[in-house]
Amino acid sequence: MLSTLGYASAVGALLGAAIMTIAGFRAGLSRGGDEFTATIARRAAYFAFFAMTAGMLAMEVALLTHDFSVDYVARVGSIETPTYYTAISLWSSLDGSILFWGWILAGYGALFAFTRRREWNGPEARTRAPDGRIAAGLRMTPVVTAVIGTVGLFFFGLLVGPSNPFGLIDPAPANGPGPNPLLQNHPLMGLHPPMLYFGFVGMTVPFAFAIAGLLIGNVEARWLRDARRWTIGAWAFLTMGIIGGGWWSYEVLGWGGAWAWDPVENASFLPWLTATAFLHSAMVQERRGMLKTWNLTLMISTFLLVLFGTFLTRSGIIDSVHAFADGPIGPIFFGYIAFVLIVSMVLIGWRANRLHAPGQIEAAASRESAFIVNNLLLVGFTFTVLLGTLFPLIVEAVRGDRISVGAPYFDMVATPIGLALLFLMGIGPALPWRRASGEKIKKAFLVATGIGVAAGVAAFLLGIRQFYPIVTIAAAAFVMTTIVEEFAKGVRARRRIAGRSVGGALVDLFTRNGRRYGGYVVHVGVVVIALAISVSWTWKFEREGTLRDGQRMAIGDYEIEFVDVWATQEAQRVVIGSTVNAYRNGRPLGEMRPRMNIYPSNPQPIATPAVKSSLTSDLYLTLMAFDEAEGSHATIRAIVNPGIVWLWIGGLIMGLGSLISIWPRGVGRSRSAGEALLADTAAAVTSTGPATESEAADEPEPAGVGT
Amino acid sequence: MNRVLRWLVPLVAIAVLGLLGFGLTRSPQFLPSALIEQPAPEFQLARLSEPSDSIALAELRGRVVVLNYWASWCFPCIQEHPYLELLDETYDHEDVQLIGMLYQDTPENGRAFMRQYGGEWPTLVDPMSETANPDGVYGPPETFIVSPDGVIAYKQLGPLSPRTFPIVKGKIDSLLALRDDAPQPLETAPPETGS
Amino acid sequence: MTPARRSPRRSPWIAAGALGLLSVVGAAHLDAQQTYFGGGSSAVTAADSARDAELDAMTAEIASRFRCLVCRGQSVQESSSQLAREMQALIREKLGAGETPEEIEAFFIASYGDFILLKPRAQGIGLLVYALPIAMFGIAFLAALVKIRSGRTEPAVAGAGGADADRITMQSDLSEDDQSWIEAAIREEV
Repeated sequence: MLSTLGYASAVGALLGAAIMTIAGFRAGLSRGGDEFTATIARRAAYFAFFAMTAGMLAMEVALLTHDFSVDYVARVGSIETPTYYTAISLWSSLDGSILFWGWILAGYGALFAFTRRREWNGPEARTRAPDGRIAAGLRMTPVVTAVIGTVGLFFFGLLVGPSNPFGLIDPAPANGPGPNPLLQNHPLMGLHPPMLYFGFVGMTVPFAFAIAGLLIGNVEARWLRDARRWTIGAWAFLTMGIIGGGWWSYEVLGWGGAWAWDPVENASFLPWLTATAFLHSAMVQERRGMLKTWNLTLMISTFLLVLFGTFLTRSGIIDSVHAFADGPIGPIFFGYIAFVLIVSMVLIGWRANRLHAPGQIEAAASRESAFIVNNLLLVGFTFTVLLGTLFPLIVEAVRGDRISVGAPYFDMVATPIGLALLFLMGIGPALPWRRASGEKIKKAFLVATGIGVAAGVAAFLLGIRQFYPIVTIAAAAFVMTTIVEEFAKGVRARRRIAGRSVGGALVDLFTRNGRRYGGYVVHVGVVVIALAISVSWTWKFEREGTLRDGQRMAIGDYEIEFVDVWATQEAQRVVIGSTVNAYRNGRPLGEMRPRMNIYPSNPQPIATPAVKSSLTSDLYLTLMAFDEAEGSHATIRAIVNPGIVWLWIGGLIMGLGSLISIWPRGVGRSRSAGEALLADTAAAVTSTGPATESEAADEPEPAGVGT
Repeated sequence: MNRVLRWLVPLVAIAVLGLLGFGLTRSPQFLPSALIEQPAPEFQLARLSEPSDSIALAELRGRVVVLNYWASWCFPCIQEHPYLELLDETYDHEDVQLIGMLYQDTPENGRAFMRQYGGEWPTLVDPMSETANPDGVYGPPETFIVSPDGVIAYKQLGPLSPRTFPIVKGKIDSLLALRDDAPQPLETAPPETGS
Repeated sequence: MTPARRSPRRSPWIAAGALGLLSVVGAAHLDAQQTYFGGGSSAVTAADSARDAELDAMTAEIASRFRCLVCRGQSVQESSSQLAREMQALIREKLGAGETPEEIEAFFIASYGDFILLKPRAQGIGLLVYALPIAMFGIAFLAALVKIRSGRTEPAVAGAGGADADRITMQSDLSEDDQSWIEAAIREEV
């Protein structure tokens, strides 16, 4: 029953996507377009979402009721698996993850259509362009909907065809093997993959904007502003998904770090890099009308890299912790990537002349050239990570043997690039557009440079001798100073214009110019992360020892005392652990229980570390070996990880900043004399754009999807 | 940003696409050993069934030696066991010697495994992986084919199976044929072809 | 260096645990596992002398260059798997016997191939993984430079399209702070 319902839902979603595509393109691109066809496209998007929701719920019910007649449940479910992990095993294997992916995609499509549902209420809906098509300002919405529909055709098609999770098994087995042990080890599994998926799938919307912009030949102000906002929403999810993944890896994998440059970790980082590049270069287009083709390239590349990452996980072409078992889906994905790439290249080639902008960069010391350097670094970074990830394949293709490219390589290349980006974060925002005079530059950077140098010297005096950490600390101080100066400048201006208090002025900055000041908050998060990486890298140390009854081992400020070794039988695994008492500076921190989990289906035992976190440092214990005869001793590796908590905090700050950036604004605004002046000046500018109505007030934001 | 970059991105994209296409044609589990065409590391190890007795690789010169690394905790080793038996029966003559190498396991567990699944060929105990490490073994089952002059001719990573058995057999046959073509022919059964 | 592995005497609590795993294969397999990873090696136990500490540090440094072949994505240094721990013991033993890190690296490459190195050697085709990023950055940097320079020689052209706030003549009596505020405000509130 559930199987039939689920499959019917997938077919329904496929139908919805087909209608989205046909009606959307017809409404936006052909002469037959009218209000009616656009409405059909919109409703089809709602319908696809409804169908996918039904499909996902059917799968959830099947999982939770252990209906092993459903193929997917028989493969990932088991009666013994705790309910929470059963519920989230929706994304623990290939077919279920595609179902989840499809649901989010349908959700984005419906949300996009919903935010623009009022567009057709105005008088423009009935006016016609000279060639008989609908008014130019109205074409974008149905075409974007249609492009999302085409992506839906692919993913819903996968569900109906080659990776149908709803297949029936007859006779139904009595029990299943349960999900991959690694994926039922930590509650973060309920958070990190969905975040990542919301980020990945969200990049479909900017891609749809790019393709629609190319088809229509219009990439002007409103198009750009909306495309950028949707990108920020998806980008924020992706950021938190990546950092959540680091956190998961730290808490589960037991090697004491958060980022291993695993191929699939890299694959999630690549679209993040190009999306970040787009978020910055979009501002150059917004202000100067330049880099249009470049921006389209970045938006499309981001989507292609999302597909690439998905392909890597699902084709089995690269061995990774994250790899799903390989199946027929690899070649299908490959074909789709090739299709998207070719169509995009043809479209860009076709429109290249029309998009060519006459703008020029006038001076090396200007905001726009800072953005160009930023893009250069980010895209160079993307290329390097891509090369490193695929290099084993290149070598195999050329020479026939296998090599590895692992963390030492990536650390070596990523550190200088990352540092250059960090510095640039302090330079770019403080530079004016077009041209900066020497005087202005001096004024903008004098204090910050001084503080940066002072911080570097202080780090040296405090005993840090490695080059990179000193430079990171200096750069962080430099960037933080320029950000504080930017806020101070804004607050001063606000106080003068609106006569607000300091606190009120700060609130104003966020509520009235959230995009800019939210962006600075994101930058603060990046600085925090850079510092956390640098500090934990410099001061991290570890010690390993075999402890017997009552024996103690000191690790820096910490000390651990062996209590015992124990074993418990859980539903689907045997857990062997060691209990130790932890102390910091002689003060008890309580018990810690590093464990090993042994699953019947997995040859390697899976270690679960025990972690005591604090704002200054973490104590991280891994059980390496134990005495299986009497339980009288255990070998424990203890790692002291200073400041690592700030990695997660930095990630949250980045998420918060993004939220401020895209928070709907413009409601209930009081006007002072100064603002009236602003409004008048602004009005002169607005009149050039193809604006339809002010929708900022009632536009729900993509960030709301997951909350 | 300008003409060069405009071409660079699509070029890189197409190169990546080509690479992915290539990637689809092979398996990430495939890992050629660095030891192919290298002399096999010598060993002298105790037998599992009679610990007082030992076998050295050097004693087996002139014969094709098949070294099969296995462990009782290794699930695929159970699946491949019938193929090892088949191999042992196929070359039931002096020219091919199958030797099991117990990897990261206790002799007790090894003996229990052999009792349960059978098999007449000798297994050697390599308690500290002193042979396995120079042999580059990391995930049993792994099967090495050592030529009559003590050179590693082939390495099969993963179990013998309907797919891999003919490959291994073909390799052994070609080594036998090669040896028989050598100046001093020995009187042996003709190498079988096909399977 | 490493004590001989103990015989697998199963204590009752492990036996009780293992019983829960119903399949014969699973139980046999689990039993063997506990035995083999239970026999911890002494190679990396707490150092009690300066020499030991130095050996530990060198072992860790060398082990972090190698890929743990059974764990995917971890180095030999980080992994707690049996294979990695045997390799660590081997590295330490070789160091103790006076071998240089280069010799040890060569030994592992000879056994496991270049695959074991986490950072490819910069020779032959391996050079590409270092040279291509540099080349790519070089090209992109030159391209950006050309773009910026070409702009410098020509007179400024007003930006096409978009809300170009710079086209608006600001009232000259505004302070720079106010001007930047207005610029920002216009940009946001369009």
